[in-house]
Amino acid sequence: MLQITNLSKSFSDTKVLDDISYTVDLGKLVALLGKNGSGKTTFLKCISNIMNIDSGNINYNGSDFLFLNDKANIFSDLTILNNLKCILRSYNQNLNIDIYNQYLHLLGLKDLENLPLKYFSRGNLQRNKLFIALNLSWDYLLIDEPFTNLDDNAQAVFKDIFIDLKSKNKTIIFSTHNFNYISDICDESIKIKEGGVLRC
Amino acid sequence: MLMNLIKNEFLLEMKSSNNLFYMTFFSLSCLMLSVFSFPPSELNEIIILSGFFWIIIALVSIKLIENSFVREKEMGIYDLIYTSPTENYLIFLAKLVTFSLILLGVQLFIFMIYSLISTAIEIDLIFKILMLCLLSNVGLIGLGIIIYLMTSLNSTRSFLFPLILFPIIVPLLIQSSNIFIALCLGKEISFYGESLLLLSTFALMAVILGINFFERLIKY
Repeated sequence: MLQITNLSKSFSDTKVLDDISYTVDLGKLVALLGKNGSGKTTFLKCISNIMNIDSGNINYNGSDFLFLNDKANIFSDLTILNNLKCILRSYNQNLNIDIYNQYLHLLGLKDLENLPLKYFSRGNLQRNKLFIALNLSWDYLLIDEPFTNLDDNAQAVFKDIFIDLKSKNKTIIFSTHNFNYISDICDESIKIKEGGVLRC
Repeated sequence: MLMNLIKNEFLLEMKSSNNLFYMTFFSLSCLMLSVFSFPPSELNEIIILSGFFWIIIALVSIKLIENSFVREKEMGIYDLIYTSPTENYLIFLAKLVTFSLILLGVQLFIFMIYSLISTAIEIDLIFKILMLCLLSNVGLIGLGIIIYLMTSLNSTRSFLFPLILFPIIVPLLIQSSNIFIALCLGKEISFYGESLLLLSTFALMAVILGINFFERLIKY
């Protein structure tokens, strides 16, 4: 269980997150909503422990998490495989070639396998971002804007993968502006407004 | 685990567009330019080589460190790597070992080329010089990484990073240069015990500071 207690974060005099407490179990899909600049990305960065917080406590209770920010999450000179191998080495995990091939086909990246990532379109980089997550082992996935730059087909594939991951008792917390499209599969949606969290 | 991280750093440096080749070429051309600008004399060659060599190496190490973090930040993989369950000080050590060895490679290449055109460096001295270089590199790279991360959130970091780093590494560069000249002139190395001690202190200080503060410095 992920427990966030009294989380606060401010930039200079602007309080972005104000005393947020929130709990989420495994096996949930949680959409993080809010206007531009409301603090969704800051919230994800704070709970992934890459950003210093002013006060509060974040406890994963022994579970592993993976954080993918809104950028491509790549070393641009590498291919899909080499980029993934680098990340796996950083996480001290091994490549499962069956999973690798399965999701490479599913996400439509097979034809791009030998191309350096710097030549990928934004949509394909977004596919590659989810592909990275699928090849790593985690309990909580914190992912920023996973549905941007995707065509209709890719959005449908992403949605199916999210449902599949949920059935495997994984929790995904993701920020989005396309909530109408994904609302039917979400267990919860939380809105960040004026520094606080509202459960919708 | 450390070996895996070192492997990563080497792979990234080799595959990078801003790679080792350009840095080595830059170092060599700066050195050649300075050597051919002065009248030929063995003493001149040694002094020029020593002085310019360490300044160029300091510049190359700055570029090496900067490239590494820019590469991680520009496409957002920085967050993914530094939120991994791996202890962050291991990443620091991996960078330290890799960059020190890469710098050593650059230095070896420069000496090899230089020994072809000059009699100032004899080939049997190269091993001793490289040991000196390795000790200096650890201090240089370790402090460089720490200072880079301290300045990385500032918008004027490209200016601030060398501005803060250079005064700190000046003693290291001077002592390295002194020992280097002594080795080339065939002087007794035991006269330079204090210089060696200072280089060792820099190296040790960089490693200890890096292990203890790297985790705090990578967070923003």
